Amino acid sequence: MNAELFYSFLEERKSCVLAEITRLAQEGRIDESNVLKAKFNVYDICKAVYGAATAQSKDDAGNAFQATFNKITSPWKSSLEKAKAHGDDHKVLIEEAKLEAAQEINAKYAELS
Amino acid sequence: MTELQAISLFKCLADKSRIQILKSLMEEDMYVERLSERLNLTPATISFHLKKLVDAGAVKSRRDQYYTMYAINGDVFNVSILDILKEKSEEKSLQDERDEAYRKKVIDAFFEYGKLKSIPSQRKKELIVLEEIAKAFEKGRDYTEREVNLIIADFNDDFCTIRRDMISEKILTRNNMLYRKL
Repeated sequence: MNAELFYSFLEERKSCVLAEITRLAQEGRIDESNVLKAKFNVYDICKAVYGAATAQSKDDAGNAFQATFNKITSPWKSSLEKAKAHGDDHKVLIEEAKLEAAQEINAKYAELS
Repeated sequence: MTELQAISLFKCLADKSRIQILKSLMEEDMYVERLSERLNLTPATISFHLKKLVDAGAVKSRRDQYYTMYAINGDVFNVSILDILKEKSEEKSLQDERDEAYRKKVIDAFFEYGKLKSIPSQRKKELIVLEEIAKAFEKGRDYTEREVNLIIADFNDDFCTIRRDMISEKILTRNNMLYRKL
């Protein structure tokens, strides 16, 4: 797994999402812009988890990263289902945005592994 | 329209997507999916904005066969801004509305889908939470301790603390092992 490529992917996605956050805010779509901030944070979470996993063990970094990252992201799915069941539209948007970022990250990680 | 209702409406309108939704609804009543296609926003995003518009009184909803249809609330938009500005501020009702807004904020922070997430450490906030739980009790009816525990347990597992605090805050009274809402 090429860590440099993975980090540059995360940075690139962060810049894209940040640009979208700024565009939405400039357009006066503040709530949607705020929802995207939750997505933006996921890339930082991922960077921190990957950094910790590689620092812990170079050989088993992949498994450690995936285990921790899945542990963090899996409650988001149940949180989304719960929000849908209770008609909590704001939370639905936030959880969907976070899960979208998690899916992108998992797909890229699989591609680079 | 009170000042707080006006503020809530203006805040709600200060969003491009919500203005786009209202413009669409000016043409005709619509349901979520139709708005979603028209404005190129996800159905979840449309539902979120519609809820805000309904809460602010800008939009009304009604069931129409399989769909929930949304329509502009003409009554709200027919009020002129000058009329809103001319209305006298009633400090008492404003204070009541502020108290109610604070109450709602505390309830939203500590309850999730009807469950109490944690017992507030601040007394003022705890009192609001206890009063909210007390709504599950009928006035003038006696409850056994087991019944009280079961009712409180629907909100939070720590029913002993909550039951004791409800007594000390004089929300419930206890007489001969029977509890009653004051």
